[in-house]
Amino acid sequence: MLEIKNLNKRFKEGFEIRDLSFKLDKGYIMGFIGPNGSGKTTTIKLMMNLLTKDSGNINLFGLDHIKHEKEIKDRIGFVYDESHFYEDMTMRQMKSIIEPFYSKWDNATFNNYMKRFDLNPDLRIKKLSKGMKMKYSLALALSHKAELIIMDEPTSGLDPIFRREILDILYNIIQDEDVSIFFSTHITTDLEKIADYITYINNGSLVFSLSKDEVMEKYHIIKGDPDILDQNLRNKLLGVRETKVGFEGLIDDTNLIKGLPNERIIIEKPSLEDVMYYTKKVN
Amino acid sequence: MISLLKKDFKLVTFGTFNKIFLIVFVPVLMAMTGFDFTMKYMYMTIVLSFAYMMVSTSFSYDVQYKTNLLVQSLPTTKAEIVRGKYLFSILVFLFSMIYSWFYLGLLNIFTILKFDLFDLSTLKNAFILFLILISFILPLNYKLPPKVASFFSIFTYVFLVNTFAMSITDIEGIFNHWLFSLYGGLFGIFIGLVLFILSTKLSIYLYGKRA
Repeated sequence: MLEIKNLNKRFKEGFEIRDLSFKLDKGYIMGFIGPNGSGKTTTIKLMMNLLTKDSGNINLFGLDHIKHEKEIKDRIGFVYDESHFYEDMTMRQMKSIIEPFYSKWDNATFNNYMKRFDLNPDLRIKKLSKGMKMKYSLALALSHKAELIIMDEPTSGLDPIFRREILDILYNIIQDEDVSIFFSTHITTDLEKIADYITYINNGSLVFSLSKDEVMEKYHIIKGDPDILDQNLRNKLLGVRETKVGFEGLIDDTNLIKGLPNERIIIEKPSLEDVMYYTKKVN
Repeated sequence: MISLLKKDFKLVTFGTFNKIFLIVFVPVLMAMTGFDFTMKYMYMTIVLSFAYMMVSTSFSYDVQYKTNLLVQSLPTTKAEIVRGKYLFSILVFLFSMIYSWFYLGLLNIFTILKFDLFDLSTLKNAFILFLILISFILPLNYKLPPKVASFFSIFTYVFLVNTFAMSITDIEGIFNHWLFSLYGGLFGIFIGLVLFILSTKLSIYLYGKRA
């Protein structure tokens, strides 16, 4: 469905995407995480051919994203963080601009989503709240039988109720096994609810791309008293946070801590946020 | 390509304000020019101004709402977006000719002014000027920041219209220029079309490089 191999892009300002590789199969949700400025939006722009790559391959549906640009985009639904609509238009007028671009546009589906999201098509886009705009974007993205939905920070700036609603919608979409979702965010709790795979980038480089279960199995949080945190243990930790009463660190292999006194350490499952926090420190 | 053309036509006609503006633009421009200079140059000025205004409006909406990201994400390519804009400008010119002709026809019917509605040489000269105008202003819009591009576009438009279409003094002399007269104006059309094609290729290159 989506395969990126050795992708590189360097900007004049110095930021670069370095040797990025990952893949997403049909019917899954991939969360694309990373701190602000880590290269998530740049990667999405490269996938959509809004930016020109320096080297590497991007294949969507088994096709090269430049040679088959139109065909690929016809099969993609996109939702961006900010509104890029003609804001003085009504939602109906805007839809009439977008509709002719897609070969499989389905008005009945669009109307169903508008009803379901409680959106009045004759309302001007500039009158909509951020959450409503996001729902409208989603209605557009889902009305042309897209096989891959690409979303760039769809939940950022939304209140918890809207966020939960959007996540429920995504969860329902994925029940159709032919659709995949690629979903960038820095709100990792969203992904714990719905993602099958997590791809994490930091400073333009891949940290990992694994199934959510693999991430949860691989990484562990270790907590203990400060006196057991010697240099040897410190070297084994991916990241560590110290206080006067103890330390907390992340490891990616429990074998590394064999031999430590069990009664003086606590091993816990980390949240995605923990993994992101500690690995960012390393990177 | 048709989807892009539909987009641009919808952009310049949506909303009550735009519709009223389109309806009153020609009569207002006629009133502003004062009906007091040769009709065929007034016709040319109106055709050029109306077409220029339509093309500029479609650009200004994209700038105002920052819709580039949306348009480029739709099933189309950057090259098609540029070609679409050039084709749109030609269609707008044709529309502008017919539309202005309609108003002048009304003035003829009511014998307010006398104008030869089938004066092909004026249309030919307007077409040459329009090709030259578009060939300069569209690459500016794809290369320069919006406000700078808008300034230079207006400057180019005013320069061309002032020099060729509205210059009452020695106007016949200007249209006896080889650009408009050589081989009955066919040479001018050829030059205009060559510029138009080169300009399209330049704009595709510039837009392709733009992030």
